[in-house]
Amino acid sequence: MYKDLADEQLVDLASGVDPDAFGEIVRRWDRKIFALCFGMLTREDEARDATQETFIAAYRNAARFRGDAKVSSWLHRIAVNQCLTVKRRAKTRSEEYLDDETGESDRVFVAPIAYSPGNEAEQSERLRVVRQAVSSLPVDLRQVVVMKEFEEMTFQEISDTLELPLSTVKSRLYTALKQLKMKLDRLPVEVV
Amino acid sequence: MKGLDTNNLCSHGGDMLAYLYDEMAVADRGSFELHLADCGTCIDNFAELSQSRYPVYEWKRAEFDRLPTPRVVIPVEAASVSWFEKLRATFAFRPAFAFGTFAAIAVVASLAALVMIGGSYGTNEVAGGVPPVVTPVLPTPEVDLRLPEQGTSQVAIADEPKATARREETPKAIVKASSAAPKQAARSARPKATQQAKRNERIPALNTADEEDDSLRLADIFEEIGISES
Repeated sequence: MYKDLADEQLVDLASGVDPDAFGEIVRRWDRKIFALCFGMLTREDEARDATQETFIAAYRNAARFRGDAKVSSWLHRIAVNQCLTVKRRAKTRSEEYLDDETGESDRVFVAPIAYSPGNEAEQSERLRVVRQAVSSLPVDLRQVVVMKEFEEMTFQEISDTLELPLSTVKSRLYTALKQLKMKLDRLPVEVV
Repeated sequence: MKGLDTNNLCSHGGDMLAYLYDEMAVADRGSFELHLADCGTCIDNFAELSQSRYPVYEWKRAEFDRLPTPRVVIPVEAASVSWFEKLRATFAFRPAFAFGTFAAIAVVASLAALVMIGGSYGTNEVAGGVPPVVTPVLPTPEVDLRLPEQGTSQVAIADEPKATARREETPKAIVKASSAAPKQAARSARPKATQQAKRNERIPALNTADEEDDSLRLADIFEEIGISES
């Protein structure tokens, strides 16, 4: 029912007569917002909480959404602000823990991913698509992606290993991620 | 890093990757986050990078992180060690071994020094500066023990106390000597006969065959049975 509607129309519906339209917004954007939150917070549990908070805030403020901006930009801004709030909270908490000398803030929790055959099939299909997209990158870009993501090397280490300037390494990774995004968006499977 | 994306006119575009991969300096993070909260272009740009990075991260976690770290074993043949190498290894420089050796040498050297010093004190002087007691061996006076003849008895009687006096003089001759002179005297006073006897013992008798030969001779046998050699 909602699949044919644009994001802006869905937000209009959600803010007015049909609150359920917002469910389609969540379905379309939850992975992307989660990826953004994970990029900012680097912790999955915090990223999940921030994603949830982002959609709650978006739903509450749906009536204030103006059509002059894209829904994606609107959601991104809300998500970034949520992540910054989480970071500020975590910083305050860690200072409090530091005062109490408990050190509990160092614990890292990874939220378990809900298992179901459907999820697993979707997951394996997603991974196949990503693998294909990464493989299709030019060699010099793929090399930097592998060193950064799989071998977890720093930019400086990659620069030393490849004997390339630091700016070139960053530029290559930036280009690689941009190309990857384009390739993934073109595919029929919703990867992000 | 500035100007990675020509469409991105924001001056903070270059910091995006450092922030995304958590490699930005702590001091710069605050200012970047403040900018990010206000800059719509940077927000969208950062979202794009995050959204293309996360699937790769997910792929890595799903397929690579669960793989056990391969255990690489490099087969190395045990090199055959010769006996000389083993010996060398035994005496190779080791701090404990070197210290033990040094300590043993020091102990042996000090013991040897003590023995030598003790020996010199024994011959020259007693420890503590007390001069050694040297008893010179004087030649025993010859005493005429023959029976006195007639007329000479007075002389003999007169001589006898002298001899007795000399004999008695011997114990008194114990002199406390601290110089080398008495020592020299004591050495010269040793009986030369004893020294000669010792020398004779050491020299092997080589040409004694002519002096005394108890072996059975053919001539003697002929003589015994009454046959002349001719």
